Amino acid sequence: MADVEASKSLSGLLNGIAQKVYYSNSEITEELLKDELYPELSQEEFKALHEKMKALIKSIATADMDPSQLEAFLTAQTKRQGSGGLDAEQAAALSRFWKSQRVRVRESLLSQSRWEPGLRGLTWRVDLHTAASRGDAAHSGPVALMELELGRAGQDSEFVCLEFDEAKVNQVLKKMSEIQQSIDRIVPRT
Amino acid sequence: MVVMSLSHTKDSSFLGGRIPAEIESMSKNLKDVDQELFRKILKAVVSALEGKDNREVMKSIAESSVIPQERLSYIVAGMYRVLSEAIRIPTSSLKQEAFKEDLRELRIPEDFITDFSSVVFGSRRAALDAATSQNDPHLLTMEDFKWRVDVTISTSSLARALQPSVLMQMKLSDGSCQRFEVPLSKFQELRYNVALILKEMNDLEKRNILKIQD
Repeated sequence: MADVEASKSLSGLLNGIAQKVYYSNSEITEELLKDELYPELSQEEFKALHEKMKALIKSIATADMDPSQLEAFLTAQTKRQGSGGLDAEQAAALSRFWKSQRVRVRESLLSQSRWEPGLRGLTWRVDLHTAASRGDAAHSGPVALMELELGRAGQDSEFVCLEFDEAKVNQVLKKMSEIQQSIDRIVPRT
Repeated sequence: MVVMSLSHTKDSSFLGGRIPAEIESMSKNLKDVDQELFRKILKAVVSALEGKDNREVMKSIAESSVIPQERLSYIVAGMYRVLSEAIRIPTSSLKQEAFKEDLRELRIPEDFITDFSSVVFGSRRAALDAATSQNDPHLLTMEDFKWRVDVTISTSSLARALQPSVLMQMKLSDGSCQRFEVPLSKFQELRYNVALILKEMNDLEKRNILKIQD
């Protein structure tokens, strides 16, 4: 029973660290984690545990370890003697944590080194002009209105509205397929 | 709606209930204009409607003409108005005969009516329609589109990133530039949507669903 509790607390601590360090959730603080998960530990004991886990997650995340790398890494850590070492439960908790959070942590780390605004979303509409102040416009073809949502990490989105006629859409689509080919040369599609 | 009402009340002129002042003054001032001068001015007015800069041509017409500048300006303004009003209405609604009849009522000489008519109903009409539609309200358009595919090898926070991404740069019609990064997953979404838009546009043209009946 005690083991289950300990492993729950540790999972909570690992996820708390991830929230704080990687997902920029400022509501999670060291004090909160201690009070909620480890009220029985002294300040020093908790601090040591917190620092150790933070350092381990950082090592795992920075190397973006795959399952076999992680296993080798955790095995090495459990063999270490003294306070730096891990016990089997801790290793298992880290392994579970990484399995569920790897993709998200990686995404968050990648975004830390992204400086251009990123494309967040896209909405569109196809219209047919029927008339305008200058005159009848029914002879003109359909028009695509596109709204691009752009934004830098941690900032509000900006919206860019554009208008395309069919030839332009075709042109953009062609470029997209060139881009796709270029990506396929580097990353074979799965 | 304008189209509909015009086609149903054929008793009124294509110019509407009240003849615009420019057109009245034009018809008064056209009396002793020879056809050569008329055609020169017509050509200049048509090129203005097409959005071209015709200041030089106008200047040379004004300098070489025997007609005083003031009268010339009435003529130019009136011709511009006649043509722009006529072009507003699709040829399916404004018939050539009705157009000519309306001009005859304004006592415009028959030769000039023929010339007007050849602009409104002739081979240049499509180009004129295209040029005038440029003046309709528009959103920004894309003038140029450049891209680059990058693979992030390593970053300050990720030792082994190996992550492709697309950098796109669009030059817009107001001269501004938008540069943004598109992660792979977003790129697939973008490509899919552009293809979908094109399909919608193609379908729309095939179905002709909104073909306006006059």
